[in-house]
Amino acid sequence: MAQVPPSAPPDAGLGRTARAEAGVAMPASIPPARTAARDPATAGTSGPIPLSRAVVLLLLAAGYFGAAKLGLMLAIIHASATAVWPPTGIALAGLLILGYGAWPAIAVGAFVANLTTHGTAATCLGIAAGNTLEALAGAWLVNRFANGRLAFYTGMNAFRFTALAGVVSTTVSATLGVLSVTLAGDASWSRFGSIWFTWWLGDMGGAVVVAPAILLWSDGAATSWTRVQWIEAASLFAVLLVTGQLIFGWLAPVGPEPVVLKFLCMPILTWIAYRFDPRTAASGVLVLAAVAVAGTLRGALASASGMLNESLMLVQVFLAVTAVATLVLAAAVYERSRAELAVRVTSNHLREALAELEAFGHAVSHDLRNPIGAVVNYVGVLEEDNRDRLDPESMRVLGRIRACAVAASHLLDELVKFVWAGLPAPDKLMLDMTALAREACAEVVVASEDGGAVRFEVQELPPALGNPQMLGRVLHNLLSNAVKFTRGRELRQVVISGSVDGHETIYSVTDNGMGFDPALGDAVFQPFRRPKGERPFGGAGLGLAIAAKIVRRHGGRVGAESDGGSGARFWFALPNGGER
Amino acid sequence: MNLFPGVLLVDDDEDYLFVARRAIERAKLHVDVRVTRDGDEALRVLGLLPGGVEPAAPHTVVVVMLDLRMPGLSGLDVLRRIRSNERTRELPVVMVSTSKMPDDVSKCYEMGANSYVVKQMDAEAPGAYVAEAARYWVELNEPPRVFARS
Repeated sequence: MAQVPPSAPPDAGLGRTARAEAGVAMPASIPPARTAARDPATAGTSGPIPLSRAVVLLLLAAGYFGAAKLGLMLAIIHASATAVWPPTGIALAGLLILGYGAWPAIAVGAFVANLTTHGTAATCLGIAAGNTLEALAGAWLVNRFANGRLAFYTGMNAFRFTALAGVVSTTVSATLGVLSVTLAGDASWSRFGSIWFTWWLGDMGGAVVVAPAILLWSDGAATSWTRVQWIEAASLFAVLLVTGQLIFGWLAPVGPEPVVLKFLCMPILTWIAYRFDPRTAASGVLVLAAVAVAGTLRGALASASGMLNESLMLVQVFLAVTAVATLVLAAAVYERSRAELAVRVTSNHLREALAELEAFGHAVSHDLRNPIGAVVNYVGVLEEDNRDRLDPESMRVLGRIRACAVAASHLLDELVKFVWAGLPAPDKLMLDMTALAREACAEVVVASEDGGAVRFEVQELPPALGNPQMLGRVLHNLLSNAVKFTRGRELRQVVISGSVDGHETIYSVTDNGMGFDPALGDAVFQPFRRPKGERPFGGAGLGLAIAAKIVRRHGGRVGAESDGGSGARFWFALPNGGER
Repeated sequence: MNLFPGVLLVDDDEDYLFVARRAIERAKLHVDVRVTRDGDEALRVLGLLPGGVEPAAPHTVVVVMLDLRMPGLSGLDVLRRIRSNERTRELPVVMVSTSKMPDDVSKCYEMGANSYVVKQMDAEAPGAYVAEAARYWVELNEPPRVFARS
C-alpha cells in the first residue's frame, strides 16, 4: 500500500507523434514541474506569498463560498447539513493543486458561507474546522497513496482516491460538523445519525464528482482530438443531456420515473470513458451530476412531496457509484493505451538497435577483416622476400605478428557469426537432421587438425523445422566443441542422438571428453566464456553462444550437463508443432 | 600488342591488389593483368560503359575477378551489367570476397557468377589462392566460344 507514487507525469517521454499514433485521446503532457517542484508539503510555507498566489487563494475562498451557498440552499434535514456539497471537491482539488498551505482559503470560505446562512460563530467555526481538516486529510491521503493530483491516470489510484478522499476523509467533516451543531443545541442527539449520514453523503459526492473534474482540467494536458473525435464527444454529451432530461427532468418536468431508468446514463458515460480521456469522463460525470441535482430539485419542488432530502441522497448515491465506475474505467483505459504506446516505442527502439547492430556487423566483418588479412599477407611477403637476410629473432617476431593477426581474424569470424546468429531465421524448412548432422561431422573433421581421430556416431534423428544453414551451424559448433574437449582421451567418441518429447524435439551431442565444471551450468553458453587453462587462441569462446542464439531464434532451448570429468552432453530442443 | 589472355582484377583494396598481382607474377602465369579499382572502371575496360579508360581489346579478358563489396557499384551490380550484355553474357566471373555469408554466396551464384572465392590470408604463400584461381580459368578452363583464343 505504501508505494511511492511516481512523480513523473503519466506520459512523460512519449512524443506527440507517438501519442497520435495510439489513436486514443490522451493529455498531451502534464508539466512535471507542477508536481515535482511544488511539493504540497512545503508549498506556501516559505517566503512572502506572491500576489498571484494571493489572488488564487482568494478565488479558491470565493469559489468555496459560492459552492457552499449553493449547497446550503438544499439543506433540508438541517440548516447546516445538505446532501449536495460540491465545496468538498473544490477544497480537496485546491489543496492537491496549490499545496496544503492553501488551507486558510478553505477555512475562511467555509466559515463565511455558514455564518451568513445559519448558526452561531462558534458552531460555524466548528463546521469550518471540520471542512478544512477533511480537505487536509483527503489531500494528504491522496498524495501519500494515490499519486496526488495525477490519481486519475491509473485504475488503481482512481480506486484509492475514491476510497480515501471519498469515503474516509469525509467522515472528518461530517463528524465535526454534526458534533458542532448538536453540542450547540442546534440539533437533537437523536437525529445525529441521520444528519451525519446526509452530511457525509453530500461531502462524498463533492469529492468523487467535483474534485476529479477540477484536477483533470487543471493539469495542463492539451486536447489533441481529430474533427471526428470532437463530433463524437459533442454527440455523446448531447445524448447525455437528453437522457438526463428523460430521467431527471432538469429542463422540463417529467412524470415519476422508475429508479432503474437512472442507469440508462451508464452506457453513455462508459462510452465516453472508453473512447476518450479521464478528463472528458470526469466532465461527463460532472454534467450528469448537475443535471441530476437540478432535475431532482425541480421534480421535488413540483410535487412538494417533502421527500427532497431522500431524493437528493438517492441521487448522491447514484452519482457516486456512476462516478467511480466511469473514472476507474477511464483511468484503466488511459493506463492501457499508455502501456501499449510504451511497448510500441520500445519495440521501435529495439528494431532500430537491431538494424544498427546488423550494419555494425557487416562493417566490422568487411572493414576489419581486410586490414587484418593484409597484415598476415604482408608478413608473408616480407618473409618470402627476405628469408635469407633476416636474423632468427626478426623471423620469430614476424611469426608472432602473424599469429596475432590470425587469432584476431578468427575472433572476427566468430563475431560475425554471432551477429548473424541473432538475425531472424529466414525461410524455415523441414530438415533431415540426420543428413545435416553427418554433413556437420564431415565439416568438423576437415576444419580441425585432429577431427579424424574422433569416432562420430550419428544416430537416426527426427526431422526439424528450421533454417538449414543456421541449424547446420548449431551442429557444427556443438561438434567442434566436442572435438576440442575430447583431446587427450585415448578413444575419442562423440554421439549425436535425438528424440521427440511432446511438443519438443531434443537433439544431443554427447562426448567422453574432460567435461566442464557442473557449477557452470548453462553459463557455458554465454559469449566469451572459456574454461580455465585453455589456450587464449584456442577459440573465440563464441561457438556455444552462437549455437544458443540460433536455437533461441528458432524458438527453442539449449542446455548442457557434465559431471566434470567423464564427458559432457550438450542438447538443444526445438518446437515441433506438437501439443504442449 | 599484348596477346596474352587478360585477367581483370576489380577491387578497391590496394593491399589485396598488391598481393594478388605479386602472386600472379610469381606464379609465372602468362597473362595480362588489368587492375581496376571500382565497378565503373571495370565496366569501361569491358567496353560496357563509354569513355574514361582504354577498353581491353575485344575478347582478350578471359576472366574477371570481382570484389563483392566496393564503394559505388557493388560487385553484384557489375556482375548484373556483365550478364545483361550480349557480348559479355558468358564471360567467366569469379567473385572474390572476405564474406563467407551463405546469403552473399548464394546471391552471387543466382546472379550468374561462375565461382566464388573467399579471400585468404596466408603468410606462407600470400595471394597464392588468387594465382591458383586465375590459373584454372586461364589454363584449364575451356572458355566460351566468343572468347576462344584462336
